[in-house]
Amino acid sequence: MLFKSFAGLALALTLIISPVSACASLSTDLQALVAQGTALRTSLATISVSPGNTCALGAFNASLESYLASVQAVYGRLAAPVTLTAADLTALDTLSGLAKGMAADSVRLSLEIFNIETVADLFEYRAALSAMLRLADDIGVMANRILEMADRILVMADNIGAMADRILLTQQLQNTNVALTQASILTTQQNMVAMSDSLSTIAYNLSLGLVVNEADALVGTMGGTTLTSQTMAVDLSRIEAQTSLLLNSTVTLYTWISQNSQVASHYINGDTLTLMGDLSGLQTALAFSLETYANTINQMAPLTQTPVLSDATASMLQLTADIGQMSGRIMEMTNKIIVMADNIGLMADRIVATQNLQQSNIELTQNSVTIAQNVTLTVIKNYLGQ
Amino acid sequence: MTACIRTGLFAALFLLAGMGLQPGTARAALTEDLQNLVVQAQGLDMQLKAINPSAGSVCGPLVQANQATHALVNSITQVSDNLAAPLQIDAASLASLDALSALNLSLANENLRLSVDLGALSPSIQAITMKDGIVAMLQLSDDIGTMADRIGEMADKILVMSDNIGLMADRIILTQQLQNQNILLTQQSMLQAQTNMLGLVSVVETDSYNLSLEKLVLDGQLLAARMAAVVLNPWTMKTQLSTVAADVHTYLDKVKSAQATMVLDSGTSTTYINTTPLLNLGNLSTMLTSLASAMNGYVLALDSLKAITSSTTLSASLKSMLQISADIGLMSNRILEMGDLTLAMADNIGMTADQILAMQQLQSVNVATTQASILAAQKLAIGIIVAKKL
Repeated sequence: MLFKSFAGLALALTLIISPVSACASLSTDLQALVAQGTALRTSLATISVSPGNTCALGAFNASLESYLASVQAVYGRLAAPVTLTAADLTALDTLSGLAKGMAADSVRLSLEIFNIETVADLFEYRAALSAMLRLADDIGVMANRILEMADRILVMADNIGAMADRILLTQQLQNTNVALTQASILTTQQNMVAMSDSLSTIAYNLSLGLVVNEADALVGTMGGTTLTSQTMAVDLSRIEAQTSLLLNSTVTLYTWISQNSQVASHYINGDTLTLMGDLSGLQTALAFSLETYANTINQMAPLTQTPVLSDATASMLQLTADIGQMSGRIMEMTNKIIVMADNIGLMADRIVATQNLQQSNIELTQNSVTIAQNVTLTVIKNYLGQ
Repeated sequence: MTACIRTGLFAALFLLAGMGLQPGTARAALTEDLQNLVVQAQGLDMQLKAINPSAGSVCGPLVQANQATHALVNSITQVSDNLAAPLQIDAASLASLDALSALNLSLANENLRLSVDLGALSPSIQAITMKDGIVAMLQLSDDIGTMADRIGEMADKILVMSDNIGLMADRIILTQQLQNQNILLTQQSMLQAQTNMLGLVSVVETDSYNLSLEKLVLDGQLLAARMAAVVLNPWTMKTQLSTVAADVHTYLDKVKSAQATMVLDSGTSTTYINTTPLLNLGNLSTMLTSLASAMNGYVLALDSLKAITSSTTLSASLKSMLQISADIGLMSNRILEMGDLTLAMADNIGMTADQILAMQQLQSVNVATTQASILAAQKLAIGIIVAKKL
């Protein structure tokens, strides 16, 4: 009997004390969130975007996500009944004000990113842009969670009547702040989206096709040219001129792609990759012809007049330099397109296949170019003694 | 006359001396330029060797490494552009070219090591950090590959411009062979690094959410229709609103589940935005306004029925109303967050910019309308609680 009385007393005491504890606990949690949020807001206010300094945004995002986890934890601990105090409502007001302030900062940062658009590397600029979108997303989530927490507290509160006026003020303030926060976030997102230039590589296909045709014609010319001790200098000079034109076309295309890759991401078109692969195959054929020429010149060197041989070897060195340069630029073009590809995930297998093909071709090209150079150098050493 | 001849002789002498010295000066300048490039490349090599990516330090070190690599490529290009015939090759220049080529290979190997390190980190870091890392690594590969090409082009250019090839032929051949080997090894390392990076790319096409989003739109429209069909009366209001609250809560769980899937995916993958999901997200927010509109109807009904409704029924009904408004608010937030998250993780913002902006604006307007309705419902509930002392 005595035991039952004590148990009943203990239960009654627990029931009496529980709401007070819950209330105190909520107040403490909210105050802690305000303190953490204020520190975050101060930290965000000091961040300024400049080239080489864009990673600060990513680091801040990590802190903000930890903070969101804390907000979520407080939200998860809410349990009815909740007895609201003025301090709790003030804390909720402050929290929504902090979210509004952070959203305003995100607009400022988005404008700062706009200022570095022309001076920062595209990948760094895009990293900042992604971090900003993530920041906007997280600030939006933070504002939402605070509003949800306020709504939930309202549902769970057992003293709405007593605090009605103050609650209404809080709800109105929260509503206004969330609207302002969402407006700032939308502005940030619009700024970021407007700065995201993208270009389909289909735009290169016409020029790339012309370069492929030119390279194909040069392969035909080189394959159809048989060097003789009398005409080798003239023939090689003609081929050198044609190669120089092809090199110019290749470098022009390379420069175009290179400049675009500094300001826009690329949407990779499958035909572009196919053309790039074809072009590297043609370079291999050109380099193989050069190797054949070098061996022919080596064989005919004793029978060739020195001025002819001198001109022929000079042309050969220029040809090896030009074809080597072309081969490198073709690989670089592909690299520049894939660095910032919109559809990298969808095209990953095709990209790897093209890269493998280009790699095999470049190995063969470089080998042939090196052999041609070495044989030419030996001819110069043995017969011209420069 | 004598003075004139003397001046002419001095001038001729200076001219001869100048012509005699020129190749030597040019050679010295080239040797010095090449040695400076070697020192710069050694610095970059040390910088890359010191990078150990961790969850908190992917972006910063890679951005700095990219900047240093860019600077080195620019320096090499500048030296190459300033080359002018005739040149005389010496052993020191060739040794510098060999060293540059070897350092380039070392950089490519470091790049490969970094790609492996980043791959090891991938399970433990956020997709957005990984996305930055992948792009930075692909950029680094591009720059190191460009560097290899520029070094090779510079060596070829020096060869074409030099006038003492015959004397240095054997040494030049050694350099060319070494360069060829190094370039092949460099290219292999670059290719492996690129393949490693491309293997880490993980993308979710938003089309994969179509089914669940379309289902949500349909279920939401049905819910709005059920809510609009409810005619509140003082006797059954409590049950009616309790049923609606349960219905809304069930629907909220579905919205939360769809959003949770997106959040989970965003931890490991970036997003490729298709058009249809953007339309569905827009439709979803439009559907929200139908729910809010039905709730507005309840507000008007409750306001007119409060005088003839018992306190117990009114109190329970108002609790349900607060619950409904909180749940619709939560729902509208989650729907907005789905749009924001898709955008934050998107790979292809540029190509879909117009549709994204249209969806964001539509969502923003719809969510604002919904929030206004929620606030109106909350105001009414609080007002009645105060007036009736519930």
